[in-house]
Amino acid sequence: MGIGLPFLNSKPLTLTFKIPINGFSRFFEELKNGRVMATKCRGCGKLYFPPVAECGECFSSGMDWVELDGEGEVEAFTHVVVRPESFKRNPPYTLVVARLKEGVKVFAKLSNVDLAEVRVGMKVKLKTKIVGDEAIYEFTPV
Amino acid sequence: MRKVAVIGVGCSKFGVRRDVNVARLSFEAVKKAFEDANINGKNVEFLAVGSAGAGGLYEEVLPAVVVAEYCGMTGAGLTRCEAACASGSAAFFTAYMAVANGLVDLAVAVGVEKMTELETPVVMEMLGRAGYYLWEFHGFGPTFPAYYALYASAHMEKFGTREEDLALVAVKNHKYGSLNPLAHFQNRVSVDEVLASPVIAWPLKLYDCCPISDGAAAVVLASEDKLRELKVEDPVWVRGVGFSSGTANLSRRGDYVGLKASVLASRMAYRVARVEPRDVDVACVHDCFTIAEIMAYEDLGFCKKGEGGKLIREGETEIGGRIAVNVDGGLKAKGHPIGATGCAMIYELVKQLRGEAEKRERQVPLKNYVGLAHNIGGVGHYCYVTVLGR
Amino acid sequence: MEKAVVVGAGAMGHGIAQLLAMAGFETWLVDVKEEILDKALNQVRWSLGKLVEKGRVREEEAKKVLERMKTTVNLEDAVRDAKVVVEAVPENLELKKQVFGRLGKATQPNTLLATNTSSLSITEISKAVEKPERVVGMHFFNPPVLMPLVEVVKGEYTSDEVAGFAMDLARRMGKTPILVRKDVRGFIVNRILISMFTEVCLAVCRGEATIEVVDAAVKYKAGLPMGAFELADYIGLDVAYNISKVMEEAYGERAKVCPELEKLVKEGKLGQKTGKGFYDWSVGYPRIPFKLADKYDVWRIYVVSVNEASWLLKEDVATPQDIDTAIKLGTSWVQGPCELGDELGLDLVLSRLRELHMKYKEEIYKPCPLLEEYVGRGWLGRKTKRGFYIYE
Repeated sequence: MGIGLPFLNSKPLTLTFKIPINGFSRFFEELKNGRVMATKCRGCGKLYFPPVAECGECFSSGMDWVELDGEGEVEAFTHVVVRPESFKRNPPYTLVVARLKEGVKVFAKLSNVDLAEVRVGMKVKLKTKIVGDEAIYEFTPV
Repeated sequence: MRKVAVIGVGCSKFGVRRDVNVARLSFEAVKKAFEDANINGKNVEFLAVGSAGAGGLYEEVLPAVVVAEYCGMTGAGLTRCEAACASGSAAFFTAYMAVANGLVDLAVAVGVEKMTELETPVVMEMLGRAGYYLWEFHGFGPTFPAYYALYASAHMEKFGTREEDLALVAVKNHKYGSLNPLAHFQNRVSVDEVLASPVIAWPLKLYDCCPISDGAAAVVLASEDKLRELKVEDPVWVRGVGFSSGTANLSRRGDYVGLKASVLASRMAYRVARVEPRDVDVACVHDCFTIAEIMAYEDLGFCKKGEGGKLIREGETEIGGRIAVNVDGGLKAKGHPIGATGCAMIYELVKQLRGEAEKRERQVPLKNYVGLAHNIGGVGHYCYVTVLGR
Repeated sequence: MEKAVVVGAGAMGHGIAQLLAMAGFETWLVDVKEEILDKALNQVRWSLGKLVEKGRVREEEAKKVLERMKTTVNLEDAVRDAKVVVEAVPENLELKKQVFGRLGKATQPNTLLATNTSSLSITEISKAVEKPERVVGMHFFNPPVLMPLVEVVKGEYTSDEVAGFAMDLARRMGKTPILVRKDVRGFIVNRILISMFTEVCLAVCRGEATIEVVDAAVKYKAGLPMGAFELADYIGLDVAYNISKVMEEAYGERAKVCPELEKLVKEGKLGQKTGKGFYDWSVGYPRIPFKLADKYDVWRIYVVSVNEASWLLKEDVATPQDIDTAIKLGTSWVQGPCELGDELGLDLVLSRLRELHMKYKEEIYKPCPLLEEYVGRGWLGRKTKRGFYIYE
């Protein structure tokens, strides 16, 4: 027990949640094809990113898939130096929220950028990328 | 709705509390609150426990039953409340409603969190996952400081708020923390030290961030009938509660220069309590990061939008200024055991309104005997504003 | 109660003594003057107070730890019946040999004799003792009470049994010991750190970057806890210089002493403790501008540290796991150089080294043959399931 405060170790437990993506699996499929998709409500016309399968405004379940052009402008940014456990093998990364031409905003990583250049109002574009067996989306400077 | 009074408060020492588990930590706060209210556990008809990290940050999945049993309240109506970092306020609100509705005459709210049983990167991860895991954390790994850093970048751009302004919040809150024996941090810091501290998530640096703390706070609420029975005179009254929320996805927010939930919740609280921001003598605002306190000044109407930096620069939120803010050290220096914070704010306000702040330098001169607690969950995902008065 | 003795009550000595007392030894702290010993005990008291405050030591136990600690100026009396002696006098070979000469005579023949050194040869020191097999290196990191790593270094004559005893002792003191199998200069941690420091120093001396530019990149792009020059200032430029000197003697061109460092030391600018070093500390902690982070390519420090790790492996100094653990615990890096190399791809590391070597003709960039061999075999790291480590 030593001279420190006494403690017990809990039983260790590793959790892996199987997150259902039924209803927006197309989003992840299209990412592999290089497209970033949003959904548009057939009932009220509202555009959603991240995509939804049901509209919380008019409660319609009829959604259309729309490809986003991906050009946008940074509204807020940060550069994450102290990383969380599951990202600690990554080097520090820059995260932004950018408003796209289509009106929706996207929260994503901003890559291939000189840190001195990152600012609110900066023009960026969404790109897709395959990392391992997962397709991801991220911003790059225009 | 009946009038409800706060008749007892207790708060544990905040900090790294490896000496106690969640039950004992709660006991430390509950015992003081019971002594303050001159009651015991058998009198309690309803208990609401605010805790956000049950089973995730610490081992107990059902902390409410554990706390109720350990503190002699088994048998009381019981719930755990989760509203992220506003869980304590959610518990306070739940207990308040039980009394206000006339269902019970005596209710207790306990806020508690154990945050130091896991390694720091794991705690960073658990907090970063709060938000919308699927669309935010899973792909991009934001931390909690990163979320607030996004707001800081936008606020700095739009209003010219400077890193030095953010640093001044830390300097002020550390100063008061050093006068508060319950505070996690007992040291003062300088602007230079804040600015030179390691970057956590640009533009936020180590000293812009609240620490990872353990702590508990407890509040005893009573009806007027109960006051007569217990012969309590001149208590602190709950004047009003306001609440609101914001989107789970940060990308669905209108802007990043303030928290709409704070604006809406505070307006509601002011209306119910029939007070104006200028009536508030002392406020505990949610300063988990320095930028959060600057935004709170604006969102709560202590100054105009965009002038939060100016308010701290001019010292208006110190004791003796226009409004005393976070003179217990705030989350920044007192510590932010997330579920405990809401109840700890009520603890501080009650002590202030009774003129009982532990050190005289920390006692706010009272004009209107009005105090305000502003407790955010997440990044404006939840918000509770509570107005107390005497 | 088993008895331990620490010779030398400086910053390292009193920390090590405190750890031994915390591990349950009756611990004697020896130095030449009473006032040094008094000062050391005061620092132990302060440190224990902090540990109690942080909940890491129980208050009643802290009292017992202090009761177990004794001081004396009489070395021979103190060590006579000691089970363990740890020497922590200043880093001077002659001085250390002199101390070990006395220890060899005054101790029991089976007493463990450990030297806390970051740069000197364990083998040389052990020659001062009649039975050199009982001499072992135990390199603690500053501050010993908080830093989790101890490099346990085998000298040429150190017996396996003695090295094993030192490993167990380090564990008893609450530390993670890493076995350094060969008595090479710089052991593991300083080898890797000096390789990185040599590279950034060259970059600055060539005028490719300023110290702020390097440190901004190291902190904000590489995500290391401290900038390279900031770290040097923090540990003390005299300390860094002494290690550098030893490294230059041992490795020649590959570890040349930074002329800038030499200049500052000669001017008496020793870093944080003197208020001036690479940075001006008189006005407070240096602020390293965030905006400079992209003006220096951190891959350069990555590749030299992976290269240095390859040399350590080639020389059979330690295993990849031990190198990585040592670096992570000794420097708070999130990844060790072997993990890092596997992550980056050893082929990319190698080609970058060749490129740098071609361009600058500096020894530090010359790829280690082991790295070339791995790449030749198609062991490129995580992506080929084999590099320094084997995956799945």
